[in-house]
Amino acid sequence: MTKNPTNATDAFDYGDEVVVRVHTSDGTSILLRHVDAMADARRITFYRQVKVEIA
Amino acid sequence: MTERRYDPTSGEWVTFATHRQNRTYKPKDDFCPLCPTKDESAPTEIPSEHFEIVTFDNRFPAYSIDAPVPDVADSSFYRVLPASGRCEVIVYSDDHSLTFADLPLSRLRMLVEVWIDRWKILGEEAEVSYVMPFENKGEVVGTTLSHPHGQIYGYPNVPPRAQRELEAAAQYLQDTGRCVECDVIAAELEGGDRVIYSNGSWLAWVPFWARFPYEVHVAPKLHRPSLVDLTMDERADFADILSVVAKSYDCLFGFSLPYIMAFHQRPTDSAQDWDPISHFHVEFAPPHRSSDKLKYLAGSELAGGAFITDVVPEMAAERIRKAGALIK
Repeated sequence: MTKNPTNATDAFDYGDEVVVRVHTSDGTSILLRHVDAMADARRITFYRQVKVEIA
Repeated sequence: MTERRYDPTSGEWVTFATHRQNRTYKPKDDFCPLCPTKDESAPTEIPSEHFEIVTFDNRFPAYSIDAPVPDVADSSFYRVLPASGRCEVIVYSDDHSLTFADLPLSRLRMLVEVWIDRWKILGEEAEVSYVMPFENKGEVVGTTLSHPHGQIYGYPNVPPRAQRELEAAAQYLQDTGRCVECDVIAAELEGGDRVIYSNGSWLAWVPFWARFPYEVHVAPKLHRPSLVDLTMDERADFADILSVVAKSYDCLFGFSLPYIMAFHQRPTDSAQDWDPISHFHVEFAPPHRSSDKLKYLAGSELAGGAFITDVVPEMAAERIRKAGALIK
């Protein structure tokens, strides 16, 4: 079963790559992608959006 | 077996993918291959209990990077090539009950970025010349999986309809010095009777020449050759206008309206400078001509390529605008 990190730190530890940083009216987030292989070696890519906390 | 055969009488390539005869067709109600895997003894296509947006290689691709050598011999008259390219499935949500129209704006905004990322990734493949995201929605257009999803094809050549558009745009540019799509948008903004929605940077309208009764085109007001050329504000406005068009369709007849949605944009090969003639746009083609009647592509349309449309575009636009006013 594929992991599903819910925050940026875990995602980076997991090997996610940053696709783009998105600024919206309710804050800033980054879009992450994680490329994996399916059981039959087909390529699968998970995209996740994670809020960026501004210190 | 997959291969591409050339039709010298039309100048078009036809792709054969016989293994697609075995693709998933109306799976059992209690098992959706696009849902998250909840039970590892019954895995779906997506090995995760939760996900936001996922793309993966189609299990039954028409085009693939490792396409096999064609079964028949190539000749100078009957040309044949491997069906090289890429076919991906893009799943918009892990919620099986949603449709594209139900997606919240934040998810659509994310989807725009994913489409852009896939355009870059597939476009970098040497075998891919044209990347076309599309969605077939509804059983009447052949969809058998209701889970919210679309597809992204990386074609080895520019598909015929996009090719004809680019050729027409090139001729128009040569004749006038302008982009034809930019001039269409200017004309629609000036006239207004076929416009169904406009925001800061995008326009949605029923084309003057609509081939389907409730066809809608969506395009950026400024010249942008492809998705990747959109500014951040334009990407946000794109998500907004797609949401409005999809929701308006669902209010048109009081049910979730089937359609084919396809993106037309700059080819990813470097055969020529596409930027001056390519203006990114989305085409929605719903097959309904009324709440209970479909428009079938028959003799004139399929045999002759001559579309005959049952609803005047100005009337269709008025009806879709009124439907849009019902969006909650």
